[in-house]
Amino acid sequence: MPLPASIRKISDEIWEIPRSHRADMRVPARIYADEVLLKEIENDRSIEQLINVATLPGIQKYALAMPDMHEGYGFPIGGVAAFSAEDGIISPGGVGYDINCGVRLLRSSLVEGDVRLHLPALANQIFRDVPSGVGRGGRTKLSVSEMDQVLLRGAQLMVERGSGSQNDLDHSEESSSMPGADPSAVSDHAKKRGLDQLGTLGSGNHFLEIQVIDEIFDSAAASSFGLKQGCLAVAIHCGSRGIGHQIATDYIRLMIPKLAGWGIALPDRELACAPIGSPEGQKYYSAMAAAANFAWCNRHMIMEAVRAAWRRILEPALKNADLTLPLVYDVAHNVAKRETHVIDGRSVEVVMHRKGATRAFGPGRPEIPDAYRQIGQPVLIPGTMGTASYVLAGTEQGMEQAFGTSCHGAGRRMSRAAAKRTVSGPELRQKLESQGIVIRCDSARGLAEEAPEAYKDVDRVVRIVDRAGLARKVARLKPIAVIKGG
Amino acid sequence: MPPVEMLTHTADLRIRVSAASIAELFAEALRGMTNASGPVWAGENEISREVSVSSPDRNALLVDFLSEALRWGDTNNEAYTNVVFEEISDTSLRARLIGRPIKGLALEIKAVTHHELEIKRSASRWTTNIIFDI
Repeated sequence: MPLPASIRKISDEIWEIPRSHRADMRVPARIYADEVLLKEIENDRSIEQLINVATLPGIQKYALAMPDMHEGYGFPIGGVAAFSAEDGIISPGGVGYDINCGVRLLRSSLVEGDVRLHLPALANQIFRDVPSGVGRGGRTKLSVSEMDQVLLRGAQLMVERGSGSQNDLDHSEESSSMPGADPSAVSDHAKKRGLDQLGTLGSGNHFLEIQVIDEIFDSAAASSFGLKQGCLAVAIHCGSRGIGHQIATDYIRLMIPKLAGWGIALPDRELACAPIGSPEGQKYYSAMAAAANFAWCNRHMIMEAVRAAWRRILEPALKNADLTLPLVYDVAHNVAKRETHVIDGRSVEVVMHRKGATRAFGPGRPEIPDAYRQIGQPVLIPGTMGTASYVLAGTEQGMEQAFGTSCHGAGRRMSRAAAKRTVSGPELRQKLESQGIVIRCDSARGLAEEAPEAYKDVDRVVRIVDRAGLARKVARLKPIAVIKGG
Repeated sequence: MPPVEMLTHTADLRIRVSAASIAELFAEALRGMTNASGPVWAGENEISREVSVSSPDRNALLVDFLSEALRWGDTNNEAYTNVVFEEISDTSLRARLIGRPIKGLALEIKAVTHHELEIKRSASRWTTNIIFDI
């Protein structure tokens, strides 16, 4: 969609489409981008999708889009909206099908030189121990009653059973266990889709990377997060797998026939929603929180598998070395949550929707772990397998401007088909390996679809976030091993 | 016009389906979804699954029908290439999905979306776009 004639520049990083642009808009739409990124999104329907979000009942201040914005369905990816918790809505389409898709970052005190010789063996071991790819089940087969416990308690359940530690829970959004989850709000169909998927990466853009901390931008924040230049880190990117997909499908189906009765007219059915106070809205929130807990449990189990592989491969060679992999943080980037924000000078409870966007709370917020509260929340931004990822820190300014939200990645700029036409999987593998990046991926097609060329320039995306004040740069990380499904 | 065309989408999968009747449109949409996911077949044994769907209108019925096929396939490691309708109206259908067991898929389709889905009739053809979350 071409840029609307009504769009105006607020600053070098902020563009606004006024409420008057379309009669059904309730608030203006704001896009965080520079002119280059703005030009890229003209090629798809993301702006129209953002304008549609601005029409939803109870929306506060603005419909927002982060600089990694691109076309999705319903909300654009990178779409952010706060709805009044009194008379607003909750939308499964505003969360997406991969509920609590997110990123977890572990840190190591080892440096690249310590592991370089062992990197292929380490990548092989992780590739074996963490199932990846379409439909690949894990080693854990849950019963329905065990599934209910996972949905209710998330990763807390795993820690109580001796897997991981309280420290892991303390260093995660929602302590890896979202309150309000109710397994009875999840259909049997949805539960069945997840019974053998705990501890699995899945496919598409989900990945596991061993990274080296390449540059530090903010020493105090990096020190608080335990990040040291030259040291290694492990990033895990995945979500709630089939159970999240089915919950979103179930609730969109439930809500569509009821929209007229609630007096809700939508420009796009994929924005299906329910008043937050309605039984349907409450039930979706409980089911979504349950899927979010599944996703946190999933990333927790993958983390434990990586820790075991790390010790198994490195212990014989690196005697007396520190082989621990403490958790830096874990963030969700597809989720709706009750949060309190200051709007027009007063504290307002809202239902925050972030679809392909990361919570980035500034210093002092009680939701941030004690260890980071003075600095701001760690914000984890995965890039692409050939470029870089970032760690940022939340800011006060971001709280005021964007409800404490940042981008969630580089953001696609090219369709998967176009990526495959542009990049050959085998050639990409060769190119990355020539840069010293170990690749473990069974699918040449899957590799080509996720080529760096298919994504926006992550440095540019993060620069806009930093300059706009949504979050500040702390560290840049570069991949040295990539493990992914096809 | 081929029954299923692949269109571009920045992140997901957009197809256009076209057929001479509503029942054929639903069948072609099912085949389009299955073909796009690239099943790796595990055998020749034919499998049949019964689906029964009620929806507010024809557009929702197509999404709900495909979502049921996706759920059955994901839960049972199967993929479906044909459908026999016992009954189909604007708001409900009863049908048998015909398919085979699979070892895996080349592409994971997470869900069928309502975005842009609008079944239209022009001349003697029924058409719609469908966007799948992948």
